[in-house]
Amino acid sequence: MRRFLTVLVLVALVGGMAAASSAGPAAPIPPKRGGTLVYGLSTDPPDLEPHINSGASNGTIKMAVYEGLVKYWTGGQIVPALAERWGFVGQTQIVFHLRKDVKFHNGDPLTADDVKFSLDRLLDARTGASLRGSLSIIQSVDVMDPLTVKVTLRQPFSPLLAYLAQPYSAIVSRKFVQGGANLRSTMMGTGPFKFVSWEPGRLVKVVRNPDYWQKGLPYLDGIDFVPFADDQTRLTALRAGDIMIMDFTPQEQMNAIDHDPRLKLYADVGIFMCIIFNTSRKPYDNQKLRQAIAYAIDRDAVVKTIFDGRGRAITGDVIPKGWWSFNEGLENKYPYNPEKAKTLLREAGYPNGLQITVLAPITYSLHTRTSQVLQAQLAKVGIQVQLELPEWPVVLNRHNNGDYAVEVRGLTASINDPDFLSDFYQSDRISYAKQVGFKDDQLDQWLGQARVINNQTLRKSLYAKIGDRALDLAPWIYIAWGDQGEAARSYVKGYTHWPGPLGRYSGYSLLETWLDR
Amino acid sequence: MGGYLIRRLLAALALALAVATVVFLLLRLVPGDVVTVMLGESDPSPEKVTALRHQLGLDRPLLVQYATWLGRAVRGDFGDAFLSGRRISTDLAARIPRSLELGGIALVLAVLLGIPLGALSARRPGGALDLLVGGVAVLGLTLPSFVIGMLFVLLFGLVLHWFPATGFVDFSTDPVGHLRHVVLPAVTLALTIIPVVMRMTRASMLDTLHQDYVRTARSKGLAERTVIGKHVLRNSLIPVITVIGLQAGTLLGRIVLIEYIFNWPGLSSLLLTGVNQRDYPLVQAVVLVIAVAFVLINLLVDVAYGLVDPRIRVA
Repeated sequence: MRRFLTVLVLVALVGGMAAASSAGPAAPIPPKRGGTLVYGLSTDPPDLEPHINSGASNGTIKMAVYEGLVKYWTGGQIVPALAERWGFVGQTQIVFHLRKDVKFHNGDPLTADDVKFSLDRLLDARTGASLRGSLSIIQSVDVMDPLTVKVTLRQPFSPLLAYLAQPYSAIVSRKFVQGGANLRSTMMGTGPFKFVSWEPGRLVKVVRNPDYWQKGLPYLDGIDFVPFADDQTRLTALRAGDIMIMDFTPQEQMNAIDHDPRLKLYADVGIFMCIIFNTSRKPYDNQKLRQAIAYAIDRDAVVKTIFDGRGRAITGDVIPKGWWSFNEGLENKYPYNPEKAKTLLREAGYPNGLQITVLAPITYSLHTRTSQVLQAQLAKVGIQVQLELPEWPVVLNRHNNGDYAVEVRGLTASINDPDFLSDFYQSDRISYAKQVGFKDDQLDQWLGQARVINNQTLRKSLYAKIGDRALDLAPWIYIAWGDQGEAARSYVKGYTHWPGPLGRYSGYSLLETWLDR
Repeated sequence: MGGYLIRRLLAALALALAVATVVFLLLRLVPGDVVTVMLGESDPSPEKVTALRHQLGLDRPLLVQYATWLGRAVRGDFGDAFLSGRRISTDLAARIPRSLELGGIALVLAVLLGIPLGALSARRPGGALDLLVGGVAVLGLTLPSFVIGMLFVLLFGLVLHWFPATGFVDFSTDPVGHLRHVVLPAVTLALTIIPVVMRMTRASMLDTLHQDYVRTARSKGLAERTVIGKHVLRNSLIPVITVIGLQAGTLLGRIVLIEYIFNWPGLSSLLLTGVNQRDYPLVQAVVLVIAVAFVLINLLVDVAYGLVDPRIRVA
């Protein structure tokens, strides 16, 4: 009984203290230094190569150790990193001025020569760099003086900085690489953390870079990246305190994490589900049929069932809210309207409905469940959906050969620039349009224009036209954005998750992350 | 004994070769192409596919691929993993000891606990101890190892915080931390074997206790301890050894599961990575290692029989 009373008194005391502290104005707590953050990764890093994108999970490690000329920062803007400023010379030349106080982790100063070496390496086919295709727009990189680099483009290219801000445009040391270092298995950059060791399947260890050019940062002494084979195990490890933060939080656990006072969820829309049609195959070449399907989908219901309410319906263009290129006028192009869907079906020549075949990988429950919800919803307007659910490699193979009728996909924007739409609509892009022979001259022309214009207002109006036409043609139907993100112990502070497709680059905020304990 | 040994050895070799062949073929028969998976959606141009196929040696005839792979595997060279480009043998060398450690500790625990418990139960069949141990054993036998593992994680990791729920620390850097991490997975694994060993010991002892020579030993006035320790237990152990050998074989499969639950960086995560990424050489290597280990254990058990019981050597 006495013990019970003690507990009761304690509870009252703690409760009172909590109430008192929450009553006052929340003064910002100064960040505490020290401590090692244990980061639970969803995938075992296959390599440490800075110029190859081998998954977002692995990218977080690279962001801690490497830096590019510019980088993304909270809110999505591109901020100076190794280049403190830059300026255009005409339409096709950019001059980057480097910071003078930057040192590589081995103590060597960063020079313009390293920048030239890194970009040349990135463009060298032997490197196999992920951004080589997009950055092939670079004609030459010239060293002007030890701290100045000139990049010459083959033609104007407005999304250039969006590519250079990706972690996969990292600047490496010429001396280090030419000295024989294997960048697949070791790392040496200019970033806030220094590489210590990599034990495949178990641990990648990095420690604080005391000479980092941003004085006083980072706060952490280091980060241990620990890969997990199973998501459930990873979440258990977080709950038990074995790890302090994890990426790619399982969707179905997000609400539970939100309600756990010991944990904090950092999530925002990151992946969108969509349907893509093989527009050269009958009957999917029929625009009215595609539009009918677009009207027949109750997207809010999809968000509820597929994303557990953690997402946002897309009734219009896919460019996310918050981007400069977001266009309000396109927001409600395809509201849920089964009557209109039936009318369009009649006009398309299917008064009695029809049967369609939908391909989705059984490997990913998100895709499978989306296709099942669609099956139920489309049945209501008379469209019978036959599901084909093979393994992911089979889906990928068939996709690449254009061997599908309708496909359910979960995608994200490849870059944080509306030029990502080129991946989807441009007729010569091998990723989506080419295999199924989708070709619209008007879209091709506008996309090409929007890529070379350097004026944001003009670009925005072009993307509004592109979005409108693409929605009208409906080679794709966008369904919903779903949340993705990290979960951490509540004592992890200073971490931020960035909205939309930028979420993959939230690892940059580890620079300001600290442990409050 | 020599002839027996050679026969056993040849059979084991043939078995290992058969397993290797099946593993090699199966992976190439499953639908989906490793090259397209590796390239993903970013750039699946036909030129890239052809180039990568060539680089990985996948454009050569199947038989040539098989012969090359087998020839190297015999020398312990499994080549490089497709995705990471790392030497597979290096990865294996780091992980095999960790899996062996779990298995070894589990087996030792099973022997140290299973045999005494079985012996004690056999002393008074139907007694309180026998019922209790027997009941717990049934529970241990019927609950799948991963369920026990998850319950342990919940209880000792999340609720009581006695042990870390997951992970691994090197013995060389932090011996105490290492032992703390090894407890839960090793005990979980041991719990799947202890009941088998215990029940076999009990049954075998009960059988032996009714033998004539035990009665003789007793009637000759030997102390009960000597009767049990020297005559009963030793003679009862032959089937127990067999069971331990069999358990050691099937243990390999369970280790994979247990490692998965406790994020123990042994062979299982390597296998899973390989399967997820369709990394043929990696999966082949890991499956082959597990299969060969199984064959080896069986060989050892066979040899042990031969040593213990001369009648078997002739067969």
